[in-house]
Amino acid sequence: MHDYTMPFGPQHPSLKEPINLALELDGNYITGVKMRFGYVHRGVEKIFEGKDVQKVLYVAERVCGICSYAHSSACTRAMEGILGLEAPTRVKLLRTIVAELERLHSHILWAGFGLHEIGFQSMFMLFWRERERVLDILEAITGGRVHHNYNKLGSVRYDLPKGCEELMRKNIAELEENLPGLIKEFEKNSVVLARFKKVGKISRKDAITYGLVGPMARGSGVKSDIRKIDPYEAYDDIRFNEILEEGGDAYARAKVRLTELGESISIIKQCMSLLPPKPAEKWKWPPIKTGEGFGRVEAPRGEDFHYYEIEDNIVTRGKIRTPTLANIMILEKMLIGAEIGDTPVIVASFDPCIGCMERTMVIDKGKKNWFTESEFRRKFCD
Amino acid sequence: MIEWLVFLAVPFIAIILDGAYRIVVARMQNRQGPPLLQTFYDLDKLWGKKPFALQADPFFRAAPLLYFIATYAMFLFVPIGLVGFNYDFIFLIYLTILGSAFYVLAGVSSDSPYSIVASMREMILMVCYEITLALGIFTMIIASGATAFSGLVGNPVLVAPFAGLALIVVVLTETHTTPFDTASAETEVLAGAETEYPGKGLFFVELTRALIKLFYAVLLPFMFFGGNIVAIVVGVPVVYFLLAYSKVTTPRYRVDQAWWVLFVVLLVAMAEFVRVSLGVFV
Amino acid sequence: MNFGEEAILNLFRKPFTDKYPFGKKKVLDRFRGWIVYHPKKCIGCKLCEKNCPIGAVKFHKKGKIDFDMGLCMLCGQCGDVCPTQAITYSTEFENAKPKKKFTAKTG
Repeated sequence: MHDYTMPFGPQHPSLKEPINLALELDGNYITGVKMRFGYVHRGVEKIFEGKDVQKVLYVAERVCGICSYAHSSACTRAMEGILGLEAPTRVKLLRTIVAELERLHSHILWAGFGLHEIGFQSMFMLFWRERERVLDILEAITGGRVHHNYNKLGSVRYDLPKGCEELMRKNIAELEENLPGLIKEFEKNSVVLARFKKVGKISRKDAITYGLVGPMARGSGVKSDIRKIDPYEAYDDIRFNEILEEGGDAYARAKVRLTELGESISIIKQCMSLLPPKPAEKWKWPPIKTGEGFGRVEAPRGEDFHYYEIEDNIVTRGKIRTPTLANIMILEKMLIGAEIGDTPVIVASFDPCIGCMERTMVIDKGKKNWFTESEFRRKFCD
Repeated sequence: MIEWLVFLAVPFIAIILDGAYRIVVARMQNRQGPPLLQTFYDLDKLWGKKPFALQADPFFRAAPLLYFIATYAMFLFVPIGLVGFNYDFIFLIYLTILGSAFYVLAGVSSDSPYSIVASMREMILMVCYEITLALGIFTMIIASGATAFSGLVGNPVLVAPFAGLALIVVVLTETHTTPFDTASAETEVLAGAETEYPGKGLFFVELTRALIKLFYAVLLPFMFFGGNIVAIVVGVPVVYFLLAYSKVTTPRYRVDQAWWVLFVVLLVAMAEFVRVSLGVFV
Repeated sequence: MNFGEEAILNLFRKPFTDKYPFGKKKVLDRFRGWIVYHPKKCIGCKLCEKNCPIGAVKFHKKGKIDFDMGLCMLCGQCGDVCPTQAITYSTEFENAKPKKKFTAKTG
């Protein structure tokens, strides 16, 4: 049998965003992986420098397309901590509703795309039909389907419009009627079980050693939910469960994500019943301060962490660590020893969001290293 | 004379039925689907594309055309026997293996690793399903006591029902329908053996795919109900609907899991062949 | 119900597909489409130019402002800070235009 290298390359029908894995094959089994990233690096942390506090909120949202509201929430949490602002109750509940709607749409997107990887095209079409109902609610509340631009410092941009409550009730009732049938099909179909079980196993010890976050860690039995560890917005007053599964394979991680759909719908209903009747006030200009601070939220893929230094309300340094960046190093360990047919299932089961992930890390041993852009390009991009 | 006209009209019938198949698949997924002549528009576009850089390998350039000719020639035997002689079903089995071999040749002679992996998968599955096809056809012919296609009478499927089930599984594999379409798995090996073909090469491969569906849709009622014209006319839409239903409701097996399932089907077909030829419980 | 039964029932239902562009597409009220500038209401305070996150607003004089729609990311900040509501948003979403017409509408 030949030994050759198959590029699971930048352009591939099973990837949403470009990464390059060069799989070294021996027949049908993978013996080594070389990973290369950097195809969508945009220099976001440099764009943050020199911008006003209110403007950075809108640029931070455009780091990603799927988890956009999570980045906006983390930036808001960081800035409100530095400036010493506190939002009233109704504003916190509205922000929680939009954050849970975003978690719903992101997990439904994952379910459709993860089942398309194994050839089940019908589930892709039927799950994304449900996603349209969630995006209609988001468009009615915030004015945008993908990028919401809803947060301001200390308040939100608009309150709920008239007629929104009936639209939400109707669409959520339709979601509750259609989603359980699709989830049951995922659990009972014998071909799906044959493809997903015992594939990409992560033990509990590995999950703690590599520092995994989000549903990857919860699928191996490790508690890691920021909404319980360090509550923010309105999560103190709401009752919900943290979903844990033993097993550690791709099936357990999929089950964690699909069970969280039901939890998100229950959180939205509790928030709608707790809204105080007086509408929120209009937003005001923030005070001017100097300092540093951080904010962390639970994005759909795990823990998202933002850190900022500001001087007279102008940002001098911003740093982001996204959940996919924390999870990416275990990919090599999961792939070695698997077959080619398992590769799309493994890559899909950890739900990569590469647009968020791209950061530059330069490791220097001892002395300080300053790179200019042309030197970096000459040395590292071949 | 009529038989030659039907033989020449076969590609057009295949294109229209393929369009209807795509609309049925789309409606089952609650979406609208393409227009009825969409396959014709696709083939029209592919024929007019200029190739810009092709390999100089003669096998690479000739393989799709040979694949098309080998598949089209299968229609000389079934349903109306333009060419009929004693023991002509053995020649038909050789033609089906020749068609699959040309598909594998198209993949192996390309330069990209995706086509080579796809051809390897097709060869792994061919070990099981070609033998099952041969045994199934032999069982049906023996069960009706004939020696050629023209002598097929009666209802052989009632004599050997498990051989009929084995033939249905083989038809799912030959037409690249899930759950057994591992050789052209879109998310693992891009497009299968035809990844490197532009323009006219892809035209012949797509046209042959439509022809293969029509051939097996005609072969199954012909073998099951013994050459009855009414059974063929009713059976063709039923087989197309069965292919559409299987594509919509099942995902795809990995290559080793598919091999084990096809191996079990092969053992069932072998047992049926032995039973029918010895005349036990007939 | 079983997935197989649902697949057969779907054959008799109306498809979920939107028939755009052969039919109308439903757009909700708050959707942020193209920018509309009302020059008669402008008082020349320059707040929109200072608050744009990427610098797509260029102020020339009161009543004449250039919006670079190639840079604009439709965040809505300029409309929020304007004290006289001289900048609003329409619900147009078919915004691919030739280069000469790629500016904000005036109303």
